[in-house]
This record gives sequence, C-alpha cells and structure tokens, in this order.
Amino acid sequence: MNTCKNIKDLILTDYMDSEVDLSTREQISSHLLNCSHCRRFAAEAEKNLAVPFKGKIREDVPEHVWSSIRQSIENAAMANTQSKSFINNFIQIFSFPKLAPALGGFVVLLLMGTFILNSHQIKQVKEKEQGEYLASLWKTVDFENSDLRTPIEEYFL
Amino acid sequence: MREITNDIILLASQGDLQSFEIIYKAMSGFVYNVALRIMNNREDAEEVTQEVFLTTYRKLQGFRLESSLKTWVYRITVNCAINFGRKKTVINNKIKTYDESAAEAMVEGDVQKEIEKEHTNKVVNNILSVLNLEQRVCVVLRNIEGLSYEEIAEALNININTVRSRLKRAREKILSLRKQVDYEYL
Repeated sequence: MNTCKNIKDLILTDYMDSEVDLSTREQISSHLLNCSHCRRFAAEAEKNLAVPFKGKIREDVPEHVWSSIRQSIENAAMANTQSKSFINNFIQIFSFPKLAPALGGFVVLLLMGTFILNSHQIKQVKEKEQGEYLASLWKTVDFENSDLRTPIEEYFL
Repeated sequence: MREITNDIILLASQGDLQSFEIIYKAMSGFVYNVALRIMNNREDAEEVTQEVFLTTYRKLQGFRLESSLKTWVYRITVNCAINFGRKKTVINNKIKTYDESAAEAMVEGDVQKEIEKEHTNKVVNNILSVLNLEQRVCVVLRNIEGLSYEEIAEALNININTVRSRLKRAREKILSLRKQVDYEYL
C-alpha cells in the first residue's frame, strides 16, 4: 500500500527521473488521480524542479579551449623530446658507430703502456745483472796474490 | 559527433592528436557544462576543462579498454571540478542565501516567465546556488547532463541509493525555499 509519504519520495526521485518501472509508474499515476494533495505536490515539483532545466541551458565550449589544450600537449611533447635527445646524445658517444675508433685508440694506448713498462723492466734487469756481475768479479779476484800488475805498475811499485 | 571506437582510444593513447581531438569533441560539452554549473564561472570552467583533458591525455596510456571511457572522463571531470572548487573556495563564496538569489530570479514573475525571457541560466544558477557541493553535482549530472542514477553513482564512486537520497534532499530544499519566495512575492 502506497502512502502519500512514499509517493512524494518517489515523485522527487525515481518518478521524476524516469527510473521507475512501468508497474510502479502506473501505481503512482493511479494514486495521483485519487489524491489531490499528492497531485498538487507533483505539479509543484514539476514546475519548480523539472521545468527550469528544460530550456537550452547547455553552453558551447569556447573555441580557444581546444587550442590551449593542443598547445600544452605539443609543448609537453617538445620538452620531452628535448630531454630524450640530450640522453640519446650522451648514449651515442659510446654507441656502435664510434666503437671501432674507440677500441683502436684503446689498443694503441694498451700497446704503448706495455712497451713503456717492458722497457723499464728490461732496463731494471740489465742494471741488476750488471751489478751482480761486477760484484761477482770483485769477489773472485784475489788482489793480494794475483799477478795482474802491468810492467808500468811494476816499475812504480 | 563521431563515435569513439577502441581504435581511436588506442591511437590517442599513443599520442595521436587527431584521435584525441575526436575524443575532445565528443566529451568537451559534458566536461565544460558540468564545470560551469559547479564553478558558476566561465573562466574557471575553461580552466577545469583544460585540466580534465590534459589529465585524460596523460593517463590514457593506462586506460583499460574494457571500461567505459565516458564514465572514466565523468569521474575525472567531477573530481577535478570539486577539487578546483575547494581549492579556490569559489563555491562557498558564491553561494548566496536562497532568499537573495531567488528574489533576483523571481522579481519579474514565475519560473516560466523567466524561461520565456531567456533567463533560464540565471534561474538554474540560482537554484543550484542553494545546494551544497554534493547535492549540486548530483542535480547537474541528472537534470542538465541527463545521466542515469547508475552513471552518477559510477562517476562519483558512491552507492546508487546515496545518489537517490542526495537528489531527494536537494529537491526538498529547493521546493521548501521556493515556497518561501513564492509567499514573499505573492
């Protein structure tokens, strides 16, 4: 059984907004035929809540809004491209096309380093060998008993 | 108006501006008018519209095609407009008492005459100005944009019965205040 309170609630919501099913709509219509109080309420609701929104109240979007949006998107895309190109440039320094000269330079540097190091080591070994040889000579020669003196030395001595 | 197909959404998500323009043309009327009625100011509505579409463009890559683009844009619009309104505190400042605002609208006669005199916008703005933000959003989505209760519930991420109760309270408020105005100007 529909009370006037329920009918009014439905008038303000589902009935006004066409959200009720056919049978409920028929029940409400039937109630309105028999209840003058609810009929007046429905008329007031229609006049004050529905009619004001039935005119042309939607406005067209100004043209310049899309231009601004488009400009913002393009600016953002450009900024993004610039930051990406900076990173790409940095990466390209080490990228494949320049790998061969870079590797060549590295090999040359490596060879030069090896050569310098080797030369230094050879020099060190030679000096060491020379020292050891002289030291061995020094130890093997018996200056007291050996006859290493020349005739001139003999003369003076 | 062109239909927004999945291909258009896909192209737009890959940065195709022409496809995004199709989406804009299909949805901008809704976005701008909702923002306009919530903000009650054209410049703010334009700003909100720009913000909504820039957000949509940025987030389109993550958009799942199985959900509705329309509902997704509705939600972005409502959130954006509400946040913008709260930030600028425009809404609270612009809300007048119903007696003042309705008086302006009702001085020359009833609502029907106002419509005939092409003051519809003023009448609607005066009606909306007495509602709180939540009620106003529901009334705009229902009475101006014609969304169903289900669509409003999805856009606002609330229960359908909450939509119902917000609309009911909003309309009760409008009716009670309008009766006061009618009484004063009779």
